[in-house]
Amino acid sequence: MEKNNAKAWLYLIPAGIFLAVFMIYPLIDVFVYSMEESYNFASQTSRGTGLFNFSYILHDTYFLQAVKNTALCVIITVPISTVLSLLIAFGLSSIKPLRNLFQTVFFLPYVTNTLAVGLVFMILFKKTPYTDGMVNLLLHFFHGPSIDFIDGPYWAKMMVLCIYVIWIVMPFKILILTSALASVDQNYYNAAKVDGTRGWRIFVRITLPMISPTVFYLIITGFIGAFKEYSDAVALFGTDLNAAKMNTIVGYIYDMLYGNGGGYPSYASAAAILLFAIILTITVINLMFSRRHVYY
Amino acid sequence: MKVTIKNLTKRFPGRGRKDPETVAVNDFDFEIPSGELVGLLGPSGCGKSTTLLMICGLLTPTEGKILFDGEDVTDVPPEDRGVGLVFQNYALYPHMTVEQNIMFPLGNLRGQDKLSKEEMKSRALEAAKLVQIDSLMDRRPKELSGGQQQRVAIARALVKMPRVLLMDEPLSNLDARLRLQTRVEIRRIQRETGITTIFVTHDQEEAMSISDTIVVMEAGVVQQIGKPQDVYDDPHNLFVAKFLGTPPINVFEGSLKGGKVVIGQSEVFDIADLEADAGTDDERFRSGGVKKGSGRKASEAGDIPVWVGIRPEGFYIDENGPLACRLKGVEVMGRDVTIVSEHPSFQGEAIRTIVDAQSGIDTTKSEVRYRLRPGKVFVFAKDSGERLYGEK
Repeated sequence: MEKNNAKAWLYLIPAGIFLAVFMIYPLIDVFVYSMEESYNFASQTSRGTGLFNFSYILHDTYFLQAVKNTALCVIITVPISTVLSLLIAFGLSSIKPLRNLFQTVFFLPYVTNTLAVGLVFMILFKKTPYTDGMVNLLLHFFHGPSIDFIDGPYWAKMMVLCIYVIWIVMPFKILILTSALASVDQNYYNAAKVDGTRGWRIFVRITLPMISPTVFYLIITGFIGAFKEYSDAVALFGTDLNAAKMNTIVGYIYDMLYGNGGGYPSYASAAAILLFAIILTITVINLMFSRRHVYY
Repeated sequence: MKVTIKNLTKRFPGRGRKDPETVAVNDFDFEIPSGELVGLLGPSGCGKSTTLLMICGLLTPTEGKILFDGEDVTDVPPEDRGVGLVFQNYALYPHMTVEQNIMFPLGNLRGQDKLSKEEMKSRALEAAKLVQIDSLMDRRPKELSGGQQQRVAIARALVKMPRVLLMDEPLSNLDARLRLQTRVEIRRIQRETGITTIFVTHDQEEAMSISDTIVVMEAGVVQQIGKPQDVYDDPHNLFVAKFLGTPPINVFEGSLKGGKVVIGQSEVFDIADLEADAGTDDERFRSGGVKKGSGRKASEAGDIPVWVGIRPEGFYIDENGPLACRLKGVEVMGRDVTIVSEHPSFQGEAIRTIVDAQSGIDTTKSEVRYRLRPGKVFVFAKDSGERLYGEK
C-alpha cells in the first residue's frame, strides 16, 4: 500500500509541477500583488501593504462602469441564451427532415472567428459615411429613427454587445442540449403518452427535469463565461473600451496591465481578485440552488 | 373487458431495395375473455412486443382491427383506450417520488374528470396498497429494489383504473428468486382487480405458471393458443413442443415404418398408441378454439422421415426397453433424478430424462434402456414440423 502510494505521487509529479508553476504560484502572486501598494515590476518594490488597491479601484469610475457593464451582460445574456438554446434544441430534436442541415447552421457561429463575426456585426450595425448599416436601413423601412449602435447611446451599444454575446455562445449550448435531449429514454415519453400527458406537461415535468443537470452545467459555465467577457466587446467597440464606456472587468484588468494607462499590476491584481470573488460567490449560489432542483 | 384481435398485421418498411420489409406480426386472430391473464410467449423478435404495443396504441397496425368489448379502438390514441402499460425497464420518472410517480397519470385528467389533490393522493395510496408499497411513498425510484420498482410501475399503470393492463416482459429485470415472488404477486393483483391483463414474456416457465391462456408466437405467426397445460400436453408443432418445458423436449430423428415409430434401428413406439392416447385424453383437455388435428391415419403410413419428440418425463427405465442410449451421467435432484445420455439420432447436446429417484438406475453400466410413456411422445413431420397423429 505504502509503495503504491509513493508510485502514485511519482506519477502525479509532472502534472503537479505544471500546476504549481502556471496555476498555484501565479494565484498566490496575484493575491500578494493585490495587497502591495504601487508595486513596481522594474524595481520589484512597493510602498507598503494593505487594502489600498481595492479601495482605489472601487472608487475608480472606469472600474465601476466595467462592473456595471459586465453585470448587465451577465444578467441579460445568460438567461436569454439558455432559454433560446433550449427552445432551438427542443425544436431540433422534434424535427426529422433537414435536421442535420439545421444543426450545422446553428453550429456555424461556434467555428467562426470572433473578429470575423465582429465584422459582420459592423455591417449590420455600424454607421459610416456611406451607409447607416443594415439594421438602420431596416428601421428606416419601418419609418423608425436612425440609431448609432456602435458610437451612439449607451443602451444601443449594450444591446449590440448582448446580441453579439448571445449569438456567439448559443451554438455550444444548443449542441450540448441536443445531445442531452437525445439521451432521454424514449420509454419515459411512451409512458407519458399512454397516460395521455399533454405536450407542455411532458416538457415541464419530464423533459426538463431529465436534462436539468445539463441545463445547470450550462448556466454555471454561462455565468463564468459572461463574467469573463472581453474579446467580444473589443471586436465591436475597439480597444479603447473605457472611452466607449463599454469596458468589462477583464478589459479593465488588461488595461491596467498593458493598456494605454498600463503598468499598474497592483490595481489589475486587485480587480482580478474581486472578479474571482464575484464568480466564486455566484457559482456557489448556483450550486446550492442546483442541489435543490437538479435530480440524480 | 373482452379484447378481440382480428387479422392483426404489422409490417415495418425495409431500408431500401436490399432490405425487404419485415413482417413483425402476421394475421393475428384472438379473443381474450374478460378478466383473463394472457401470456404472449415466444423467442425474442417473434412479434410479441409489437402485438402488445399495438394493443396499447403506441404502434398502429398495418392491417386488422383491435376491439375492446366490441368497440373498435384501432384508430383511438393510447390515452383514450383506457390501457395501462408496464414497461420492461419500468420507465419510472427518476426525479419524482413514488407517490408523484403513481399520481402522474391522474394529473393528466381534465374537465369533469379532473381530481383534487386529496382525491389523487387517496387514489395513489389505494393503488400503492394493492401492490404493497404504501410505506415507500416518499422514496425516489433509485432508492428502491428492482422488485419494488416493478410494483410502483404496476401501481402507476393501475391508478387510472385501466380497462386492460399490458405488461412488457414484467419480470425480466428481476433476479430469479424475486421473479418467482413477483409472478405470484402479479397473479394476485390481477385476480383482485379483475382487469384483463396481457403480458409478454420469453420465459416459458413464467408464462405457464401464471397465465390463464398462453399464446405461443414465432416469426410473427401465432403457433398455438390454449391453456398452459393443454399447450404443453398437446403441442401443434415442433416449435411449440421445443419451446415449452424445462428441461426441453428430447427430439430424435426417426421414421415411421409399418405403423411403428423407429429411432435408429429400433422400433420404439406403436403409432396406434399415439392415437389411442389421444382418444382417452380427449375429455380431460378441451381444446380452446384451436384448430383440429391434421394427423394422418396409421394405416396410410409408409416409410416417412419424422422428428420424434419425447418429454423428459416420458421415459421409463426398462432393461428390455426398445430405446438404448449411452449413459453419460446422473444428476440427483432429490425428488427425482435426471439421467443424461446420448443417442446417435438425437438432435442436440444430450438427452435429459427425468425418472423417479427410486427407479434404480445402474450407474455402472454404459447403457440405459427406456420404454416410452404414451402421451409424452409426439411425432412431427420432418419438413413442416407439423404434428402427426393424436392431435386433439
